[in-house]
Amino acid sequence: MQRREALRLLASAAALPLLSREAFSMFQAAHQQIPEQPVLRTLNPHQNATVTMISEIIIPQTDTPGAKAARVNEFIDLILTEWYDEEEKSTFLTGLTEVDTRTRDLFGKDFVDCAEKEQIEILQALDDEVTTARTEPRRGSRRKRPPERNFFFMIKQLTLIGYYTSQVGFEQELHGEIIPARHAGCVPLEEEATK
Amino acid sequence: MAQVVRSPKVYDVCIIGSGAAGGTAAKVLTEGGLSVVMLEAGPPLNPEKDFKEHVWPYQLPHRGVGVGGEHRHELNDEFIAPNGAWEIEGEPYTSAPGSQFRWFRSRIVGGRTNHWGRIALRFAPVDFRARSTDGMGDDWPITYEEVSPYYDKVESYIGVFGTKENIPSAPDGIFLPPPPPRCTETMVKKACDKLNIHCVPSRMAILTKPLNGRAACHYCDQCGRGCITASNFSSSQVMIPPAQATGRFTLITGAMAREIVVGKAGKAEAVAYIDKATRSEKRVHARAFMVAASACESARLLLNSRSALFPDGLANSSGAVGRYLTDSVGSAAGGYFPQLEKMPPHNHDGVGGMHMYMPWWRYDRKNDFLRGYHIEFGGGRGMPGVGDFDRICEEQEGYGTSLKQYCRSRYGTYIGFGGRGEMIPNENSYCDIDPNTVDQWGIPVLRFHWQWSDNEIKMAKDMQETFRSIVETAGGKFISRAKPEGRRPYGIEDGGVIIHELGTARMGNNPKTSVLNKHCQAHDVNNVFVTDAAAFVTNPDKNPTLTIMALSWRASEYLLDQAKKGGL
Repeated sequence: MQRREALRLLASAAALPLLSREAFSMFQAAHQQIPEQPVLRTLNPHQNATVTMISEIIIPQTDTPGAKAARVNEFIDLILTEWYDEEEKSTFLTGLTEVDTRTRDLFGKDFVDCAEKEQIEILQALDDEVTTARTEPRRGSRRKRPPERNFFFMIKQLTLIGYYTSQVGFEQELHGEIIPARHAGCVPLEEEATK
Repeated sequence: MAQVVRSPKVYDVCIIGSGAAGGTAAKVLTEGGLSVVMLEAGPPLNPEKDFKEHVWPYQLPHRGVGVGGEHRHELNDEFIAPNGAWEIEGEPYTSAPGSQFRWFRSRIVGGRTNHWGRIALRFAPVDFRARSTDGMGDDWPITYEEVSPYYDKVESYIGVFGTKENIPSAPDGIFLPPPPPRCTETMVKKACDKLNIHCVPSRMAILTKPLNGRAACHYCDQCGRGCITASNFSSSQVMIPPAQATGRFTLITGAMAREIVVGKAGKAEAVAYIDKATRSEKRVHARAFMVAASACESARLLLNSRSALFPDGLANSSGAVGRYLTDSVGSAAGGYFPQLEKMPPHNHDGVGGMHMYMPWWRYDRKNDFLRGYHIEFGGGRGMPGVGDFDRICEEQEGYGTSLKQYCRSRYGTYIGFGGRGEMIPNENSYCDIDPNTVDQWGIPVLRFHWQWSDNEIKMAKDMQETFRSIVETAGGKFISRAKPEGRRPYGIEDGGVIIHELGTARMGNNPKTSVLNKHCQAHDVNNVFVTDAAAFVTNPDKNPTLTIMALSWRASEYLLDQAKKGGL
């Protein structure tokens, strides 16, 4: 089906309930605003490898794909480039560098070269620090929410956002899908399909 | 120095604004045979290009929330046509010290009807008789019975679904069949039944059957983004096209009205506007004027229309323009419902918004506050957006498989509740012209003064208590950030945040205390009408848009009648 045809069908609307998934995806493609292969603009290759590994540990591949397959690293690069202000970006990148500092101190190598057990040890320490910061009262802060200027909190938050708003996260992990153009009330999708 | 270009043509009517009020007037007046010119400050709208209702977050540059993420939880995210914003560059507004007020403005054909919640509730008879009922505020100069035929006309034309319920606080209308409740709504209704809280099908301007050439809803759940099939109501897709079809309608976009110009005889003659494309000032002439720019923007235009005859602004001999500003009382909370974790995949889409709601149910009981509120609610497994997993990130330690499983089980287990209550006008809440600030077009801007009274705070407290009892009765865990103290006691939203601001050119029988007569016609200048929510006398717990359209329709028929009698 051609794009024009998809748009015509949508606009004419009489055909909508019969509209195929194909037409919907055609319509979506017509509105797609991002390039297929984004180029990393902030993270250098080493930083990118580190971010990819950390995010995959936060949301790993299980019976469904993990953060790496959802290209969360590219999302994080986008956020660093276009979303974070300079201070946030600097906090994130400094924190990223400190991960390597810690692994070098403890294991004599960069994070990406560590064994999984060693990587977990570092991330556990970082996560514990977030938990401590969250549970202890923060002086002089009007926000009671957890430390938004903490590297591990930031990468965890970005991983969750990037993963669950991705096609992989939505369709494969959360079993979301384009739902038929009708609504039958509170019935499981399988039953609704037969109504 | 701006160049003044005079337009020689004199239209029958000039409408300022293309939203709910302006669109309705355009349809009724042009179909009645009058020539109409409409000024809209924003650009035209192209649904095919601008609407993105079927787009996923990963297809947008910033997953929908915009550069900087500043559009999180806002209404102007990347999913939505460029139809409005809390802040418009070059067009500021100010707040007096100590006042917290936010103003959502649209600059596009159709105005705020492009994004609105489509909640279409009639005011009740008692809402027009506020002072007679409890001694506060004022009565309207019209009754429910006078407005009711216009509710009928609007509902029949735009299409509103709902059910006949015979609830005194929520009069029935002419309804299309409602969509069946979602699982979350069925669950909440059971709890409401136990608590004797009405929970009934909502009333929304969304077509569940084809109507007047528009297709029925395709249940994609994204009404707020605009609807390419025009299955929900927007002025841009439902009111403007029939006006255009008459051949008597001229739409001027990119036209920021600055002043209504009055002739020597004291009648309005023209609107002076800034043509944004050329940054030049132009004029459009007409025999009558319908100000429909949104309550506060309309007040601003009147206040800025100063002349020797009207030194305090047009139609403002009462001093009431800008006064009596109200917004709905809003407070929100929610609940986590563990029983939603184990559900097989369900269709949690539906129409864009609630299939069920709670109209005010304690209308014949003594409460510790006056007036009432209704409750809107929703939840379940919608399309995950940026921010949906923030709470987990904030509260949950750990990472890895356990975190992933936790996110999966928690997905769609939250139901949010929002109260919408009636604010009684008070003398500390109003808008006036800021003497020190102009916008990029050189037009003086509004300054807001805002204060909630105890009645609204008590109402917000009651909302929080009700939300808690509903959530706990339904087997959920109550979640609320509201606190009794602080700047927003009991979670009461800042003024303007519910986007139901109104009352700034109210109607009334007494020209000393009101701006308009019962036909939305200015007491001081009989060829000027204000047909948006500025005309409202009270702000009951019903979303104002349906009443805006009913009043604008009514005022337009009155104007047509005057025109037939040669009164233009």
